[in-house]
Amino acid sequence: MSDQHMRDFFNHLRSASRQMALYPEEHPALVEVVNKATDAANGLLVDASEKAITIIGDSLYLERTILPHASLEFNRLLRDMQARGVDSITLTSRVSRGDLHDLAAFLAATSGDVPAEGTIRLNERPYSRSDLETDTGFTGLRRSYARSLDVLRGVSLALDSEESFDLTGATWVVEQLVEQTLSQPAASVLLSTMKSHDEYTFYHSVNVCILAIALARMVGLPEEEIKLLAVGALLHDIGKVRVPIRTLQWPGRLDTEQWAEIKLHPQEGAAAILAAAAPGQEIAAVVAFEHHARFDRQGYPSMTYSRPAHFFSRLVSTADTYDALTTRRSYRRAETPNRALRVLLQGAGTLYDPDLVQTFIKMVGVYPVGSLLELDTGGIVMVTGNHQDAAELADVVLVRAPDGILLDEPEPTTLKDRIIVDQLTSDRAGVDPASLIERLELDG
Amino acid sequence: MTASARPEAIVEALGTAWTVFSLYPDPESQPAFRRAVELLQEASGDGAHLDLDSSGFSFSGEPVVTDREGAERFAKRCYLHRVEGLAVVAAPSPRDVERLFAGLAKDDATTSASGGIEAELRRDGVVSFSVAQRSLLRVVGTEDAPDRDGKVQQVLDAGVDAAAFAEALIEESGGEPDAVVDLFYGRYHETLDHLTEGDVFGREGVVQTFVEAFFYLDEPAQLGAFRRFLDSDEVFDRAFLDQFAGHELAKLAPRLDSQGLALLLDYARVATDQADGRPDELLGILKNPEALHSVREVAAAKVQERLGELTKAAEESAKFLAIVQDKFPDPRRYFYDSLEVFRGLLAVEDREDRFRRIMRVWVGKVSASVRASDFRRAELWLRSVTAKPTYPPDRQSDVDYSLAQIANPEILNHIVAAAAEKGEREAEKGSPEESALRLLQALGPRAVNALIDLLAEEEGRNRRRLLVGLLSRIAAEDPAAIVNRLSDDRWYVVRNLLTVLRETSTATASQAVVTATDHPDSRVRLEALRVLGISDSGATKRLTKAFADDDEKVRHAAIGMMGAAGTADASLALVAALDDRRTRHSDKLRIVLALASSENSSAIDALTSLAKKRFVLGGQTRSLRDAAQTALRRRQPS
Repeated sequence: MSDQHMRDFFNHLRSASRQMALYPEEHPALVEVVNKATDAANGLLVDASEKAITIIGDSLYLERTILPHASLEFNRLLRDMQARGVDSITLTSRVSRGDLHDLAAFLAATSGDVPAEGTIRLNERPYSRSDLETDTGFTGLRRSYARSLDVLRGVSLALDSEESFDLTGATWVVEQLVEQTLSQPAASVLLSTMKSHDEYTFYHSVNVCILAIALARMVGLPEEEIKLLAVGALLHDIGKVRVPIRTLQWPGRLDTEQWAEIKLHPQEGAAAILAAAAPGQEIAAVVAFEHHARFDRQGYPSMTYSRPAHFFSRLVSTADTYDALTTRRSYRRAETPNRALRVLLQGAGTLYDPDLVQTFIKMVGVYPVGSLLELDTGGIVMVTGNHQDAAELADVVLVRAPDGILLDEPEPTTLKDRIIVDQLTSDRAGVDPASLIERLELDG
Repeated sequence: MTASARPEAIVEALGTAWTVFSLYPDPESQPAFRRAVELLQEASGDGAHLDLDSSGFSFSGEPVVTDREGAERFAKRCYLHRVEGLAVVAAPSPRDVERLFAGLAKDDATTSASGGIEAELRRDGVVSFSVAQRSLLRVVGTEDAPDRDGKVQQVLDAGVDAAAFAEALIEESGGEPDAVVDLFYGRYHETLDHLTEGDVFGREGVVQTFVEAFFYLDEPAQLGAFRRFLDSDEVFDRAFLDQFAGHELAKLAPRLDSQGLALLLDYARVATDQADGRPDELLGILKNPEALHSVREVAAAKVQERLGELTKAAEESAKFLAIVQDKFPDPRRYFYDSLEVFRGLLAVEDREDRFRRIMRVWVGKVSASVRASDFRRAELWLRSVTAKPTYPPDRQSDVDYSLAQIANPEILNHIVAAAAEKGEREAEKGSPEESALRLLQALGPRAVNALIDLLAEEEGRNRRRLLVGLLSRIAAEDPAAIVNRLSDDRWYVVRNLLTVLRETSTATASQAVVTATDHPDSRVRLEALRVLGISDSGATKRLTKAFADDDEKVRHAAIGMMGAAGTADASLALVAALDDRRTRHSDKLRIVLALASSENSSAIDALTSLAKKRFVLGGQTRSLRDAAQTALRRRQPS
């Protein structure tokens, strides 16, 4: 719950900070967002008179609890704070509107004044690094993830304004992602459950990149090759920058014209990558061009050459489909991981490379880590570790009791002698698997 | 519409007012704001209704063009709020305008949650503006809209327990399948009709509630309701269907009648082509009629079978991985694979501006490779377009233009410099120098022209020789580009080109070369004679004419070539020149030597006759006879 409250608070603080630079103090838009941020800050204080938000490295903590997704989602705001020398914010009941305004202005660098009324205090450092020592291995991954998003944002901006870019940034972050993913495949695949509705394409691209790296590792591709593949995976959808935003976010079924616009993104992406690629990096363009080519050479754009879609393209296509299906979109529900795997299986041999699909399923398991399963008891468990040979041997924790109560402390349990009635999406279960697993890991 | 209330003027007035509103806490105190409001008040009498899309405002289908930045910002702001229509329906007060803008200044999620801008205006008592927003099925956020109709709220509340909701519907209808269907379908639309415009969260909740409840209906009711949705093209009926996963549709498919199945198939075809191909699995299944009766079982068995395969013994895994690893691509092929994709891009890109952009990328690739002295890569890039073209013929002019961009002096200098490194030795196959040469050849006439220009400017003798050598190799297959430049004003350029042609030994008798034999500069005439040689039918006449050239070198060259020809005609011409009083003595001595080198009998007879002359007058005649005697002696075998 705290993570959600914190996200609300940071969302509004971020908006207020941005609007500080645009509007005069009395402007209604600014007034409104400062009010919202104040309300959200006070919402955090419903059960305590004081709460501290601490920043260490790339992580945000509310009191002693790490906020994994907020750390990622607000990475830029977090860095703005660091740039202003803020490493902790202590909120005290009740946070005043004036102090919130001061904080937003301070972070926006439109003012050098810290909050005056004392309801928000900066840099009290109530918790030290040792109090919060927490490096779970997710930290590095999350940092790489955030940097990858930044690279995609940068590339996207450059393309959108017809400016040139190079692949240096992409290559750099991909090397880190490869390193992290190869050393912690399970954690990285779990992190790939990160979704964003606001920046779907960017988050999706990083997820596909992580899944592709993990899959490539699984099949034994050499590391240098994985890095080349990963650049292609990260940039595979970059051509969508050229698709009108309203088509990308169209909430209903696309008409012929809109669909034609969407279908151009592989060739747009390939052309952009070719323009940016240094010698030896061109293969990323192949992935962008072919990631919607089917295993049977159908799909789009039409392939005018005789060879089948490149191995890298087939691999990215598998990861792409899986992540797209498990993400909720404006026009359809998210599929559960298990159902997404079934879709891959149904298309194996026609849409997807059957060997890669098999390997992919082997990699993520029948019930991937983070899967939320409804049992015959009515309880909901989350998979925290899977066993390749038998689903019933998976490690699970009970997150929602049979009576529907969400547990504060998940309880280890077993699937043995239990019937899995259904697999649920995180939206439906009301649980954020990645956050939960990271917390479980922190708790040892 | 009055002149002052033209759509452009209205949009500009809105833009101005928006700018003022954005900048000043009290916009009404600003004259610009007041003027803008006055104009809007005037326009209200005409019932001005503007439409909006991503390109800006339009009026009666025509775009409203204005160069005011404020107007553009205002249009963008409206678009962010998914405004699709804005009408000034009554004279707005300054406060009305401020209320409208206050709504637009909020974020979209906030206005959506409160029912949309129009709803906010109505709550504020503003009736002078009418704002139509596009509705979204889903947007980010979780807030509920206030002031919902009771029926809508009832359905949304029921959504937390879909089974109970379905049960209530069944009970209310009396349980008869047809009645359940009527009620289910009717209630769905009735609820949606009661939604406030812009209540996207409500709409999403209603659709979801009914979809969830659907699965708790009895099978006959499910099939009946499903048919109703399939029969309709209405947007919210489609939205209902869009919530079904492929496997869920597949489960229903075999139970539909043939007409229903056909409708489902049509739906699946459309849906498969969009939205990540979601119901694609359905299409696959429907292609196999035998599977229709047990779709779910087949799918489940297939999944189990495939999953079962994954849990086999470790050695099988290793074997499997070996199979996958056999598919690993060869890294040495990556660049070639990229070139194929580039050629693919050329083939599929049918937009003129984007094709030109790809051409610019291409020019950049070739040029960068040349600058990096990677001539092999440059050549491959170049040939990716020029060899077996994949681009449509009507793009040829773009390609030609791009080729001309590549063949610029800076790039050619790089290539020439690389080629120069080979020095005197022959370039080996596969060497950079050889690649540079092939690159020049691939550039064709454009490279020739640019190289000729380089040659014309080049002062260094060695480098000139190199350029001539390069040109000779490039022009060997197609000398036309060289021949076309023989009309150059600069004599040294023409001479060098003739040298190139001489080295290529092709197309020597072209008219342009013949013309060069009359060039004002003797050095050019000399070279032209050498290029033309003696092989063609006009050679004797041409060389005979050259006997009279002012320049001794030209005359001597002509005599020598005539002698080398060795034909009867050539010998007769030489003899005639020998007998001609106008022929200079030094030339006659050359003619003697030329005749001596000939195997022609008339040449030998003429020499013999000269050598046997007994009475000769004057030193010149005597020296001529002596020369003939000497030449004949040399011809005799020792």
